[in-house]
Amino acid sequence: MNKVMRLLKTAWKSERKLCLIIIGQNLFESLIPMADIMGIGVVVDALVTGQGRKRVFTVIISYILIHAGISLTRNLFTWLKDIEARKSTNAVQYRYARQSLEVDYPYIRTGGFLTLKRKSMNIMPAFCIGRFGVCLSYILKLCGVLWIFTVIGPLLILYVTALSVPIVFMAFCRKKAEYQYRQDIAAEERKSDYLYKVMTEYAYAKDIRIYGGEKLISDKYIKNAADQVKKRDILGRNNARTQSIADLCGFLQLLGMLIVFSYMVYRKDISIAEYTVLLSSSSLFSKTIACLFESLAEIKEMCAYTDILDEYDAFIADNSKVYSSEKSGKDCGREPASIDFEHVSFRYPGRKEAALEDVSFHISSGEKVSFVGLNGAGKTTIINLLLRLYEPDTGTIKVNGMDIRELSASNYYEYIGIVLQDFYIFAYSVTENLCFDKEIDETRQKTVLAQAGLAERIAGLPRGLQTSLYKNLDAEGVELSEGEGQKLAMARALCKETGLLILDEPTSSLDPLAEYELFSRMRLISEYKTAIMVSHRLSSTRYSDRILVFDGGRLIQSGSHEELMRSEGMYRELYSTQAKYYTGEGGLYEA
Amino acid sequence: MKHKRMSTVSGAFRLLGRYQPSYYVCMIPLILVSSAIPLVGVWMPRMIIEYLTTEREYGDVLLMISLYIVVLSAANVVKNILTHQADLCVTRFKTRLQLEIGKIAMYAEMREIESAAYKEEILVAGNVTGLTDIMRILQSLISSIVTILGLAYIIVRMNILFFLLVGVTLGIKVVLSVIRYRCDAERRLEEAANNRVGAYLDQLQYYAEGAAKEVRVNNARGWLSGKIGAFRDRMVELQMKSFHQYRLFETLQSVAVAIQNVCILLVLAGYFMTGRLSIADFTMYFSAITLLSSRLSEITDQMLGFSQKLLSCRDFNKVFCMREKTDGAEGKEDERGALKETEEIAVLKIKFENVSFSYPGTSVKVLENVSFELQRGDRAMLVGYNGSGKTTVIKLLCRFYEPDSGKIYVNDTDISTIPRERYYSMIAAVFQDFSVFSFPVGENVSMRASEETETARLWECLKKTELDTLVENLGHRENTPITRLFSETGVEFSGGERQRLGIARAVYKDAGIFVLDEPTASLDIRMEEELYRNFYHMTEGRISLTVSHRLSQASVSNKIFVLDHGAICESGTHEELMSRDGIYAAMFKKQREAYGSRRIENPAGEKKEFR
Repeated sequence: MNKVMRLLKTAWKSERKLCLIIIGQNLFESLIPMADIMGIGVVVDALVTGQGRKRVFTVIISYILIHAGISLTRNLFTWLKDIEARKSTNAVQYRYARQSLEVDYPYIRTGGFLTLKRKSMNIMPAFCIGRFGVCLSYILKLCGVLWIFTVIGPLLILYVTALSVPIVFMAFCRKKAEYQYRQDIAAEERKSDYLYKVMTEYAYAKDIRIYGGEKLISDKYIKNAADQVKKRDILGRNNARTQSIADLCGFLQLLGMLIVFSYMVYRKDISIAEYTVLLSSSSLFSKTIACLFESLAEIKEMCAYTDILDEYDAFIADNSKVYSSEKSGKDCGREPASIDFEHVSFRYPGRKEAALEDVSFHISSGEKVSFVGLNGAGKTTIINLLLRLYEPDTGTIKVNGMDIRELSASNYYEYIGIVLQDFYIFAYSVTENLCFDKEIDETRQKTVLAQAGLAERIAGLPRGLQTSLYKNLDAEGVELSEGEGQKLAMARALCKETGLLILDEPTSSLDPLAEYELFSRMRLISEYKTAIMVSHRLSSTRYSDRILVFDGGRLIQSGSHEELMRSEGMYRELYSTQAKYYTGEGGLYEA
Repeated sequence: MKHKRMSTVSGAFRLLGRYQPSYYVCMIPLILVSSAIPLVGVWMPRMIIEYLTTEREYGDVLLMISLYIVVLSAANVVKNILTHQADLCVTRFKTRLQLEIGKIAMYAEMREIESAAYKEEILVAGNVTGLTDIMRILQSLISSIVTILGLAYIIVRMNILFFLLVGVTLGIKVVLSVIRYRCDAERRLEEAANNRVGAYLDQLQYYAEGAAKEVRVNNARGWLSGKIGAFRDRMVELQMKSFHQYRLFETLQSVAVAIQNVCILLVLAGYFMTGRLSIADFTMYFSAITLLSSRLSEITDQMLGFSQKLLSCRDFNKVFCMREKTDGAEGKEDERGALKETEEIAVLKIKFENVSFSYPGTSVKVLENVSFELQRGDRAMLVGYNGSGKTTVIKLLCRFYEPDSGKIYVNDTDISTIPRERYYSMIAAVFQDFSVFSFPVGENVSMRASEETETARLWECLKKTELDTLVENLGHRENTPITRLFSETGVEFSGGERQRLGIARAVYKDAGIFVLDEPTASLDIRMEEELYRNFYHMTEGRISLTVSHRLSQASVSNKIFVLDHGAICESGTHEELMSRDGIYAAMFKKQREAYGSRRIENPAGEKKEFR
């Protein structure tokens, strides 16, 4: 009950206008059957009491007019309701989308968050108010019918009410089963969506064909579908059973009423006009009582969702840490960044082994640093932590002497230019991909495109910087190759005036010539910036002042190329391994 | 257009007949029962009133009442059971349909999958719910129509004029609906376009790899929420239009119905007063009319919903036509393939003969007159700048596309004549953009269900790709699902781990042709070295073809082909190509310079460091 009050209170507070409209709508909605019932009573009465033709016709016409008036008013309210409800729902959905953009990165792609979000979206204010409104209309109808029933006396009302108990109970059972079903089926539905995506999308098509994965995937789908059908079957059986029991009780009510009413007519206690009124009221009564309790059950179900709503709010509040200090956060300045990692350890969720273990290092302002190491050594993890996509388990990360947790996130991101390992190019214009919603003049955009080696390609596009990329949203969009996409990501990183440039495998999709050109421009593009580069191509280290070598989540070596080559260790081993292919030192080729 | 709509319905029914014939067994009685219940509700009370007004015994009245209740109860119980069965059929049908579409997509030719038309079609086909909704709406539509006909019969029996009257209102309704439908058509197109935007935005927020990161680290949250806001505003704007229209028509219709009711009631009252109608009949007609008008207003909504759904499903059949096409192709291939059944599977030779190719719908020749030959044991490498056609060669070899001219032979057999499954059993490929599935690790490697995966072989492959220690340390070892999409115990693989997984998959397959597209792009040095070291072993007795920007690959290749603007401009061994001093030599020197220049910069004597 508390929850109901809470729901009502929040609904009333946030959507007062909608509440009033829905009250109006349901008031008139409940008047319609009353008008029908009274209408037939009055008309029959006028007929059987042998009143004049004129009188009968007046009664009929006024009945229809009243009825039409009520319907039209109801229509008007419904119209207003549709508009208001739509607006309200839209606002809520928009809020959800914005919140998802603030949730900390580790959570956004997890099933847990997505399910929670989907579930909590089941209970939008407009929807709640709508349900309360429907409930209200049933209550009003019921009141009307009971008022008519006062003619017949309390015993019948008692009988009818008693038989309503099982109906109510069944309605509750049904709603509970449906709620449970929706909870249970969510996982299967998500799975079948995913499998369908795998079956139909281009991205998976090649591997499925070459490796004959058709059977694996369709078998998985079939198994999942069987689970879905099984759960649906259980629900359906349950529904058919409870519905039938409720129907039978409803008809027993009707039976009782019919017997009593007919007996009263037989005894000439009531007129035939009254009889018709009672008859229609009784069928309205049994229909309404079932609907009322169904709607009460729905409200109860809604209450169950309030917990989910709380859970969602709590989740959002707890896990939007990155953006929580947005206003109070410190400014990181515009100088080339100095970076300190102090005893940082980190483990990815779901992994046993640590990704980073007690990593400490210092990068001075304006320094160009390369991260070197094998796969899984922790290079990208450091970048992820530095970008605040994940939070270290222990230790602190400082930029310009300030703990990055104390910085204002958007200010901080404005300060960093990044090429991600899994960079993403959006299906919007080139300009939007470079600057998003920031105003950056075209000359600068063209300069950075040139620096990334993409100027010619973009200049050759039909609408230049305004050309849409890919065909997702614009049929005239231009497809970019992986390599061109990576170049565009590079231009994006350079477009902002930043103090820190982070490049994670920036040349993985480039051909040797493009890679060479990019590396030779490295010094120029990272001027007045601190730069961090992760690359498997050790040739890139020649553009760095210092190299940090990682292995198994630990920092094992640090120094300039020359220093590291002079001492025994991983760097020298790796460098020689790679260089031998090209320099002939490995004895493979004499070029 | 009309014809098309009908064909959607008949197509849906055909599919239903094919996959869920039992639906019809439920549907027909269900329609009969659910349309009969309201008719009983109109007719039985009349009988009761008649018994009451004609001074019958109270026992007769009781009998009538009991009969009424029994009939109603039985009908409702039957209806409930049938509804459940029909619903179950629809659920089965829905999943089955999705599966069939998925299969169509999986067995369709790659070039079809890659076409823009396919993306549209599959989007339409993905709307399976739309099709099942059509079935559901149709079901209630038919029962409403049957009820209406029943009511119309009752009313018309009284007076043929009523028939005209009801006909006129119905006509007005139909006309209004048609007008509304027409007005709606354009809006719906706009809505569909807007919904595509919505789907893409959703993708960006939650599903697209990398997008969520980019949005955060580039401070593009404002930008993206602006896009989302614009999409939502547009959606509301479009819906508002339809609300206004809808209510206007609704109002016009209720006015028409009110006029109809006045007329009918007046006539009925007149009849009663002239003694041509008993009071029992009068009440029956009255409730029949009320029911009729409420049914009529329901039916317009149903019809509207129905035609909207139809519109959204109109291309559904196209996808199934595609199916018939692929079916046919498969059949033909089987015949041709049967002739070669006795042939050895071992791949001895691959030959490209004057292969030219341009992507469908474009005029640019991606490949021109490409010819080369590879023998068993060859380790070939394809080199070239971005966009020179390397990946296309692989796509053609994988038979994703067919050459415009020229032929590709495996063991002197034109590959287009080999049945698909048979051909693919000969080939293992690691693509640049290979996919990792949200399935267990083991299944990702074997591409077979866990039970069918050979564990020993699996671990051997994991070992070869140095994934073994990683997988051993996972909670459920090889049965640990990748990604946390379905299980909280799932594991996320890094770029390099994913790439090794891709290679492990190819090794597990143990096929005659081994294709690698940029296999070392996200591998580290040691892993790359390891791959090269294992390369001989992995490709022993096979033909391998590698596309790579890393010319270090040349150390394990005995044939190098250089592609430039779609043509092979150089070929030979590393030494031959270096001495030719062409594109290959230029590229190699560039990469060497990156390493070599150190020696120039640094004092002499550091050379020994490379040992």
